Amino acid sequence: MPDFKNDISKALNGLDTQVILMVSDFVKRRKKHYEEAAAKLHLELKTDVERYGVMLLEGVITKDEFEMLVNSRTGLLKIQILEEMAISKAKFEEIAIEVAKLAIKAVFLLL
Amino acid sequence: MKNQSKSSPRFSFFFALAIALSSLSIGLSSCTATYDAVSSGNLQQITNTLPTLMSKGIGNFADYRGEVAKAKELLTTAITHASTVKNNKEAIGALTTLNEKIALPFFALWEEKGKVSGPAVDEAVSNARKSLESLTKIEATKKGAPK
Repeated sequence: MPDFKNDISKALNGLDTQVILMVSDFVKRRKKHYEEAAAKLHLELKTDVERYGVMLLEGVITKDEFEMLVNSRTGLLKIQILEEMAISKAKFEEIAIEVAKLAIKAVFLLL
Repeated sequence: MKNQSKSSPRFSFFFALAIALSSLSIGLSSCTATYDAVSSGNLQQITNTLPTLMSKGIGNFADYRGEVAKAKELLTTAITHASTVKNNKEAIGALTTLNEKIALPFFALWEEKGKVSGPAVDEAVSNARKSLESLTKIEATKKGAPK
């Protein structure tokens, strides 16, 4: 039995670099995506709230409507962040499954 | 020879390990919610009715009281169902936010003032539509969702 364990250990150790590269590449890509998404969401929020402000100052909308719109726009931002979280979670699972598949393949090759 | 090797402890050990690793991959994929037709149907109904109803905000609230009540009920039903789905945190959060931050405050103002101004209606409808687009994307990330 210790021999089998050694074989498995060797096979799995051989995956170390591959797994590290896969995961770090994934993290780098997601980090870049998050930074771009955060900048985009912030810009859109700012543009919209500024527009509501101008509409209020010009008397196009009332103070109550302005408050309702800012509240609503903040809600939209929260929903968009939840969307990003759901997409990230799904992508994280894809990479985790890829890592598991790699380990399974390595062990099957020993059979 | 082949049969001998299959019944060996070495084969049994690898086989057990392979099963354990397979279970791990299945377990990992269970962190996201599973797609279900009811959630999808609820979202479709909300998408078809909420923005259209909100766009009627320039009219008298009294004329739309019944439709507003139905829309509120639809949202509550969708949230209640979403809460019964496992690993559905994002969809529950998004639906609850749509209800509490976008739909209900709009309906409350509409009821209180009788009418909402055209530009405010347009902006609120735009926020509702964008929220529903995000919710559709959240649904699409679920396991087994149609591509």
